[in-house]
Amino acid sequence: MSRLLSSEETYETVTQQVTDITLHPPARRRWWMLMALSLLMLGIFFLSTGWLFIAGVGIWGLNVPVNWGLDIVNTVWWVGIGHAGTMISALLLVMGQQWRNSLNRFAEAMTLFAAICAALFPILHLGKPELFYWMFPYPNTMDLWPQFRSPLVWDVFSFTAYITVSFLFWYVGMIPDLATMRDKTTKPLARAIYGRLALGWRGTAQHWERWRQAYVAIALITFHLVVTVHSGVAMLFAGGPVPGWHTTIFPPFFVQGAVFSGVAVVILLAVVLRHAFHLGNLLTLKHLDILAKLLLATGLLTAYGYLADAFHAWYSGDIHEMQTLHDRLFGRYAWSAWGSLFLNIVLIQLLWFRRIRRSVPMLFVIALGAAVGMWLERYLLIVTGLYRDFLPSSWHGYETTIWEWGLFIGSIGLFAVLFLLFARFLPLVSMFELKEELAAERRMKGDEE
Amino acid sequence: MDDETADLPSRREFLKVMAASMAMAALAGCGEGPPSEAIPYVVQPEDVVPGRPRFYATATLFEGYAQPVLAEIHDGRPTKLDGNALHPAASRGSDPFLQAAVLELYDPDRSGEVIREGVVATWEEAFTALADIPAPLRLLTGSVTSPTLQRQIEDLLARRPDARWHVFEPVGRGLRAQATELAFGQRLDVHWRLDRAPVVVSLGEDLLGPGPDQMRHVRDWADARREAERPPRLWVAEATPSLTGAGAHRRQAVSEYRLPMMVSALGAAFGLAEAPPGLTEEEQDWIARAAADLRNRGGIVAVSSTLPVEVQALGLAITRQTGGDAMILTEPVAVPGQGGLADLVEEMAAGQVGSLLILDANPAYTAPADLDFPAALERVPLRIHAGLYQDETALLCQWHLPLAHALESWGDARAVDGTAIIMQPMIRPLRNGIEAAAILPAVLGQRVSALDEVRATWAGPLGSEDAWRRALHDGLVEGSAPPPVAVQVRPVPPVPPPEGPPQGLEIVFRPDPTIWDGRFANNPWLQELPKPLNKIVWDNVALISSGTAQALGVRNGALIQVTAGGRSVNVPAWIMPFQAEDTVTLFLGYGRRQGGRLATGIGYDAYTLRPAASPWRLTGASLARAGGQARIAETQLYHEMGGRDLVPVVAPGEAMPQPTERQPSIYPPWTYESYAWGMVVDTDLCTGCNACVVACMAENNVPVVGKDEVLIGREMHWLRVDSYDLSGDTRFLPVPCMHCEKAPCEVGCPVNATVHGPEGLNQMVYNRCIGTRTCSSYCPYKVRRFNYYEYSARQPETAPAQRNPDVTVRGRGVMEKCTYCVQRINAARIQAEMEGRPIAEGEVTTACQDACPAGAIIFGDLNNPDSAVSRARANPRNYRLLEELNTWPRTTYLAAVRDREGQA
Repeated sequence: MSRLLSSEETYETVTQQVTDITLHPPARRRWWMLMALSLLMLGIFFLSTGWLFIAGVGIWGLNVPVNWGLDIVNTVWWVGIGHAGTMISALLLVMGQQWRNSLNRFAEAMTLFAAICAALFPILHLGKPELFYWMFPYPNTMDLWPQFRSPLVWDVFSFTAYITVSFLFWYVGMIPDLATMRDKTTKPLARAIYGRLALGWRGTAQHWERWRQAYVAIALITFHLVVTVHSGVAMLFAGGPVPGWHTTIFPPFFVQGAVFSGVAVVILLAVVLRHAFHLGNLLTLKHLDILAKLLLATGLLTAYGYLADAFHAWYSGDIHEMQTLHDRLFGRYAWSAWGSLFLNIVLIQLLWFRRIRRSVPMLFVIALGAAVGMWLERYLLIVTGLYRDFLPSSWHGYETTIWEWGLFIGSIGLFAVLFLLFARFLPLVSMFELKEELAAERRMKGDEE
Repeated sequence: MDDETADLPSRREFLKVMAASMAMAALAGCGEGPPSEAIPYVVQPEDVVPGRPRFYATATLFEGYAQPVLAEIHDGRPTKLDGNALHPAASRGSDPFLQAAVLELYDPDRSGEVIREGVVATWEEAFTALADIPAPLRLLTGSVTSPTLQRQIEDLLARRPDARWHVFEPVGRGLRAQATELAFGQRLDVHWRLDRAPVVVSLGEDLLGPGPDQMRHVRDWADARREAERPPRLWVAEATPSLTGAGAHRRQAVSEYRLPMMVSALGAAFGLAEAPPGLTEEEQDWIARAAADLRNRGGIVAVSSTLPVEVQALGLAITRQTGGDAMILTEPVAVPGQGGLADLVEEMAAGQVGSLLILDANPAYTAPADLDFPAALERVPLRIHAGLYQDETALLCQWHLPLAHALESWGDARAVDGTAIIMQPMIRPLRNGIEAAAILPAVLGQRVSALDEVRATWAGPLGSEDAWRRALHDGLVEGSAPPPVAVQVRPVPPVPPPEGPPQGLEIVFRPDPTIWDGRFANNPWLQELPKPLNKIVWDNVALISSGTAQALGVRNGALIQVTAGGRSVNVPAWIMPFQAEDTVTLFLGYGRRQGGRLATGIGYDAYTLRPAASPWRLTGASLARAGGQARIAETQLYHEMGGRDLVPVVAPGEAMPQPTERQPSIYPPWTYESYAWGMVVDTDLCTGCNACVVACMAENNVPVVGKDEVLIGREMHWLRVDSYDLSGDTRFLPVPCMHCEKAPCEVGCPVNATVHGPEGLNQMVYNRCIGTRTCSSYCPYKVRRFNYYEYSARQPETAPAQRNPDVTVRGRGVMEKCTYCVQRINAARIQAEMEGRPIAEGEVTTACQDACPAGAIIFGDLNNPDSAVSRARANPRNYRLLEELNTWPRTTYLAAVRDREGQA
């Protein structure tokens, strides 16, 4: 495989560059400006949540038949985004793809934070959010268990597992770097904190061996979550008889859509981090090029999903399915269909060109388009499935309210605050894995010479 | 009374209770005789079981007519009304107004104080004022059927020669009586026996639509159709679509001005009139076929009471030839009075009226605006208004006297068939109101109790205590209906020649289908009751045809300005299928200015445009776009089936196509060892009257959500009546919960809040529900309703008194839906278990079933092969809604029947 990093990089420069971001923050002002904006959005989150708890879900635009709107759209979108991180980290680790080393740390952070955002909505959207724990199988005096046939229960399990395992993987993967931070910092408090978090890491061969075992073991556990979590989310829809939902293609369709949106967000974050922290040498154009190819590939899979979905609606000859297909393309929410078709399928065709894959602004725009496009797709799937289903007498549109948007913007704020804190205080790039990569490249070079 | 007998106290039991309570009162009152008002129990009688409802018969009033009622009383509070099945006018089911009357009782806006010049006064002062009422006295009432009031008024007129009695009903049936006078030489009531008419030809007459006659008409119509080999055929020509037109064999949209020509043409077919020129080919074809049908099979010709008297008379004359015993004529139940509103206003304006006593009428709102009633009223020195509400009229009078609600009153009244009912109070007056029968004698200086007055009226037929108590218990006075009158046919006067097409558009007025002439405008159940055909709530609209809409360039909800006689009103346009071209329908009852928090400030006031001379039709009005758009809330936005056949039609005797095989399911089938409840709804009998919808709200504490929430799509009705407009007719589909065997909702719920019960019910466990709404997303029938807000807490402060204590009141964030009235099943189960027997067939009825005048809803045990519901399931017309989804619904339907012969 061709080299990803420049031959000027050494172990020292990598360590220096990454630890400096935390220990000698390069862009303090810009960070604070971003933080202020994110905190404002977080404020909107608390406002929207507070009023939601006081007034109830009636403040949203939901009704019968559209029982679910932005709440579930956002859940699916957020949890989908998380998938790229898991895939890049676990799947590619197990498959021995070296290029992941520059990306995995912040991609994992993204996964964790996105999963947290995703998990909030299903709780907040409940009629009685204070009773969300009834969905967990815990022993209780009522002698009641969850209803295990419900896809929702399995979503609860998979979300819980997802957040737990993602955190573990992210944290365990960070231990060697936390030790580096402990060693590099000069401030006693920081040293104490990093020291505690590093769990006494000394970098002995025995440590490395045990760590490797643990890391790969967690990776193997995480591995299947790439497929199962979003399949579970898809079952929430496919499990009901609703036209436009009740189809066997939904689980794989959701998974690749999730990875697609996740890769898009990884690109967005990579571009921002690269720019903010001058990481061009570590997050190279080659990395972006690979990510762009991944985006194109998953985008094409998404296109196949659309095609297969539409074909089967037509092929079934079912009047309700045909109705929903027609409503999706030409109905009240046709903008979501055409918007997602354009952003998720048409726009990404530019990525066939190497020049565009390596143009940072173009890539940024296309990735942003894909992230928005996938949100529109979730909107399309959920709302158009519900608003005109079986009995025309029940058909009713759905109009979002300011509180639904407030919560969505707020969740982005929550994500941004968490991510900014991560970027400020934790090693943004996996130093030891990059150094491993350097070592490998050197060996390769030595072999060539 | 087959269904209610189980719950009714026996006659012995009733007498025991009465005796006990009277003895108690006698002790308390130290021998002043039996009390004239209801009293609470001081010592609980032995057979009163707390928590077990008691049932009493009485009546509520609708346009002066008694609606026979059996009231369910929980701990002294009336909570639910049903038709009194012993009474011939309500032997099955009820109507929405009867169902909703119980909420009116608890209306917090109901008037509760005597008001003089805007200040609270006492009854003492009011009686003094009444005794000194200056001459010449004029009494204005609505339609009066009460023998006691009639007697009192006669007495008053005899002893006060200066007094005159005027009657005004804004809707009423005034012209019908004049038509009988013209046709038969005397004023008579016309009773249509739809069960005896093989052919019914309606020319604008809404036989099955809302009104005092609806209950018996729908009942008779259903009886004639039920499993008939040759169901009766209904021909309808009308200007604006009605519930009658909805079920027509062939309906013809005809402008109101052309309807007289249609009647003449029909008359010509029977040699009773000259055939008018100018009918279209389609109209002539309709007439020819209808006439042939009438000649072959016999039947009635019902002409709208809104048409000119001569036209109605011609219709009666045709029916005399063809109708057989399907038309019955009797002495009128409501006495005409000595004059109408127009002559009263004339006198008032001329200053010839010394005092005006308005009894239970609201002419300041309902009088046609060109009479200018308020201005004329100003010229009357003393104005006294007695009514349920402090309405528009009350504001213009020096005195307002609060009337007691029918359920708080002693009184009497006759139902439409003439059978009298003694009304007994179900509860002590909640407010300071008293009965009209106790007010009228005060004019003569008499202080009486309504009970004494009623007993005096009935001293003859109900002289014995036994007969009196029997009448109270049964809720009717046996044999009090007037006998049929034999009449001589007189030559029918010619129908005046048609005046030719009106200039521009023709406007017709109709009572609102849910709040009538405005009297029910403060009743939230009726406000939120979808109008039967377009499902609009909380508003009135102007119906126009799609052609008119195109010509005006408006779409649904666009405001149009109607100007006539110097007055103009902005009305929201509404495009209605089957509306005659160039016809605009305005609905009365909205645009109230006073009379309750809910009544005021919504809709437009059509009375403003109503001409006194022709109260049902307005020509020469100009219409223009007013600009702007009204927000109109509907509970059903789409009335097309979109390629689905949701209410299939079969020919008489024909079966539905064999149902598809049930597809396999990975879940094993349920087994039912005891009962397996099920429901069958006969779509052929359903006329879309909505009685079931209100009954369900009353029984199950279903909250009202208001216009804004309905606009978002959050109405809470557990039972809805869908209407679908097809090319030829409108079909109704009542949709309760299907209680599916393979219920998608049960699979979706993560917390076991909706589960399959051992008797087949799909049960909702409110206190386990956390509100994920998955069940509703999965429900193909969308019968589930979600409490997006705490709707139950948004009801008026008095609403809890009406609630059914056997049904949980749901809080915020909880899903709810039709339960098959599980509380009634459980009550029957407890009773049966105490008696060591199984629940008998017919012992459990659902609220919607009880309310249905057509008997279209059948409920019972599917495990019992002889039950009515099992037999209905075996009916070849049985079908399952959306059966392709493999949900195996327990609520199934019977296909509609239309005979296609003779149809163009």
